[in-house]
Amino acid sequence: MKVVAATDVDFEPQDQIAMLIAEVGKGDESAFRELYELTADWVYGVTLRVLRDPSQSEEVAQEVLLEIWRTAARYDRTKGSGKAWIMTLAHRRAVDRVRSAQSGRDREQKVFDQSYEPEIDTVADTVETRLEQERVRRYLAELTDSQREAISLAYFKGYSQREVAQALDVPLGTVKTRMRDGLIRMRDAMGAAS
Amino acid sequence: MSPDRETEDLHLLSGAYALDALDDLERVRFEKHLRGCESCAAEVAELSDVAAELGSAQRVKAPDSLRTAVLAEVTRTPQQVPVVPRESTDSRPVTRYVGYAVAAVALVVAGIGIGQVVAVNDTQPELVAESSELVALATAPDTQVVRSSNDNGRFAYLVSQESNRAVMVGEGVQTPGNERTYQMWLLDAQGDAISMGVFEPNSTGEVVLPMEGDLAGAQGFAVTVEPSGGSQVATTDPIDVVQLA
Repeated sequence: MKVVAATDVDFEPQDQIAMLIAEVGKGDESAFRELYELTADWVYGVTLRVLRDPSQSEEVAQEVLLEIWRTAARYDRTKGSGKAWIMTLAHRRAVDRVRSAQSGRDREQKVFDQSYEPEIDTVADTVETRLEQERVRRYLAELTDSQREAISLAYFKGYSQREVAQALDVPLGTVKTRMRDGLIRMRDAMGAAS
Repeated sequence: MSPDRETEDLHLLSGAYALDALDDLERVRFEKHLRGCESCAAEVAELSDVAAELGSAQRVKAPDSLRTAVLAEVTRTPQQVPVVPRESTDSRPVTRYVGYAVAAVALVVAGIGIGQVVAVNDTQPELVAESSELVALATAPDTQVVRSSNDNGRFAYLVSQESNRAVMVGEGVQTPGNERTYQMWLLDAQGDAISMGVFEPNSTGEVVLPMEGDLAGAQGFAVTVEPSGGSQVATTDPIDVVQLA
C-alpha cells in the first residue's frame, strides 16, 4: 500500500543525473562521458523532433551538450531534477532555432493530427526505448483531445502559446489553461504509476 | 488589469513555461514572478519533469559524429566557475542576477573578453538562456550601444537592428512610485510608439529588459511612467528618450 503522499515523492533523492552534473561541474571529464551516454540520445531525439532536420539537430544537440559541460557548476538541484534541467536546455535551444528560422515567414498552420505518433520514423531500437515511448503514450492518453493538441503543438512543434491559440482558434487564456491542466494531469498519472 | 488579476494570470503560465511556449518577454516576466512565488516555482519544477518525459521519449540514437565532436570539444572548452560561494546564492537572487547582467554588459561594452563575461552572469540555471542572449547581443557585430542618464537613472540600450533584438540595462533607477510602473516604447519608422513592456527596478535600482520588435527602421526608444500594469498608449511625457543611429 502506498503511504507516501504524491507531493512527497516528487523530490528524487537518488537523482543520478543531478549527481553526475555536480561531478561534471567540478571538471570531471569521465563523469561527463557517463552523462553523455545517459542523455545524448534524449537531447538529440528532442531536437530532432522539434527541428526535423538531422544536420541542424546534430548542431543544436552539440551546442546543448557543450552548454551542459560549461554551465554544470551553475545547476541548482533545489530548482528541479537533473533530467529536467538538461531537457529544458535542449528543448529551449531547439525551439529558439525553429522560431528564429520561421520568424520571417508566415507560420501557416495545418490542422494538427491529433494522434501522437512521431513523424520521424524512428526505430525503437531497445526495449527500454519502446517502454519509455509506451509510457508517455499512456500519459498522453489521459488527456482530453484539446489538452493533448495544445501540448503537442507547443512541445513538439515549438509553437508559442499565442501561435497555439491562433492555430486552434481559441482564446489565449484557454490555451494557458489547457497546457497547465494537461501537464498537471500527466504529472498525477506519473505520480500514481511510480 | 488589476494587480490581482495580473498575478492570477501569471500563476496560470506554469504549463506554458514548462513547454517553452512563452515568448522572450513573457518568459522574463514569468521568471521574475517565479523568484518570488514558491508555489509557482514548485509547480514549474514538477511540470518541467513532465515535459522532460515527453522529450526523453523522443530518444533517437545520436550519431557517432556527435559523440566524437562533443567529447573532443569538451577537452578544450573552459567551464564556468561559480564566482560567488554557492551558499550565498539564495540571499538575493534577483538583485544578484541583475547585478551580474549589468556587470556582464559593462564588461562587454568596455571590450573585455567574452570568457570573463559568461563566467559571471548566470547564477541560476533557468536564466542561462536569457543571459546567453544578452551576451550574444552585446557581442553581435551590428549592435549599437546608446546611453542616457537622467533624474530617474542611468540607462544603456544595446540594439541589434539586424536581429530585431534589444536589451535595456539600467542602474540607479528610481522606483516609479506607488501604483506606477515604467513602460518602454519603441518609436517605429512612422514615429508610432509600440509598447515593449513594463519594467521596474529591483531593490538596488537595477533593470534588465530584453526586447523584440521590428527595429530595422526604428527611430529610438522612450520610457514613460504609467499606471501599474502599463497602458495601451503612453499617457505621460517620456522620462527618457534615445535615438538610434
